[in-house]
Amino acid sequence: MQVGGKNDGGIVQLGRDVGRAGGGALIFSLPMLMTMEMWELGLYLDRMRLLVLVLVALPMLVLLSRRIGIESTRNWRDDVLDAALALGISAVVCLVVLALFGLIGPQEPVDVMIGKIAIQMVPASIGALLARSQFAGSSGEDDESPKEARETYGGELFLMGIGALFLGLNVAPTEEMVLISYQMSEWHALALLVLSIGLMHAFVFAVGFAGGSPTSPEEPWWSPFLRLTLPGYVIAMVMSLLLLWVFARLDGQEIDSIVMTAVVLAFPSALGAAAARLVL
Amino acid sequence: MSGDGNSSRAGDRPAVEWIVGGVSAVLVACIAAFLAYQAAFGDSVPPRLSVSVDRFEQVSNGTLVEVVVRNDGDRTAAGVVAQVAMADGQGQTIRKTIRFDYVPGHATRRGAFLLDDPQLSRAEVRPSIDGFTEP
Repeated sequence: MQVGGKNDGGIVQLGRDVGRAGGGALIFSLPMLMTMEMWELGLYLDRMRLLVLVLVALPMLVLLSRRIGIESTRNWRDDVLDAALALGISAVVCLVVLALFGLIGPQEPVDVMIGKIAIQMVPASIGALLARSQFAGSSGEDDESPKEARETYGGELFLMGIGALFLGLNVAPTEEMVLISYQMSEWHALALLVLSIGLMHAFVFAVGFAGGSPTSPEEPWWSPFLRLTLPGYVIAMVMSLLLLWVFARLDGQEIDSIVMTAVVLAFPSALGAAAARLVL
Repeated sequence: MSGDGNSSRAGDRPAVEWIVGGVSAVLVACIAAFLAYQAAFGDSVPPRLSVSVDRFEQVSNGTLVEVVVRNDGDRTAAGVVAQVAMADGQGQTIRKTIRFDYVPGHATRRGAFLLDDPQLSRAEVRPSIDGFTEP
């Protein structure tokens, strides 16, 4: 972290960064903090799956911090600290909010408390890191952002992954994901897949032309479609499958049901992936 | 990776972008083909439910009977009620039920009954399905 190098304003700056991260964590995780399934999952979810979620999120947070973080970090050590700080702040925010809701308290076993906080901590920490891009822009203090100017292909796909993970996390724990897939026929799922990809491509085009995305108006439509939209959809599918597995929504299901449920969750995840450049 | 900026044309893109795109296209095509095949040729058999005892264990306050409900049909069954029946010492039949929210086609769901009698044997417990609804 850069606090030491910021002389007399260091403490004030740290306070501002922590407050900003806490605000981001709260705004991004509030829908999940107020979702019943998330409390229940914290109770009974296999701890190994919870660990996988955190372990997958950790490098993503470090990479996200590399691009956009609580502070203007300049090396990997700072990024790791930045990600750890985001996780720590998120854990405190989740602890406070869940305690205020009466969902955790001293009567709860430690294992349950940790489970309830850990599952909420991941989406909250994405919010804590994104707080920089969401809140810093208006203050004018952090307008210089060297990483904003040009996005690499790998960076673009990574942002799509973060966008898919974030929006997917919002809905994956709900029972509605599997219930929707039960109501649909395979034709519905096929149509949803086409719609997801079509909307993704519209976003990729719109955002690509507006910002610094690696697309060009001179290119034929199929070039960004093949290079960005389809890989983006595959990323959304992979994130959807990961989240459904973590939240035990695939247990005891056959391949047909798994594909159907993944296509349903991939709809919001794909939109999250495609809109990532707008949000992040 | 690419850092070509906005002036690149399709032909100037690095090979890795086309490889990633090509692999992704194949994967998406596989998912679409699977769904289309299932939609066109897959069966739509109504729920065919069965229940069996998976684990039978004497516990401190009775007998734990873990059951597995299986749906061999293609459609999802909702509100599936599984039942176990057993005779008590006076010749009366005791029934207990548990409800599963959903059992998708070709899927299994697990549940457990806690029965008061600690002396029960596996052969005395008769599991069955009471009924279900459409989701």
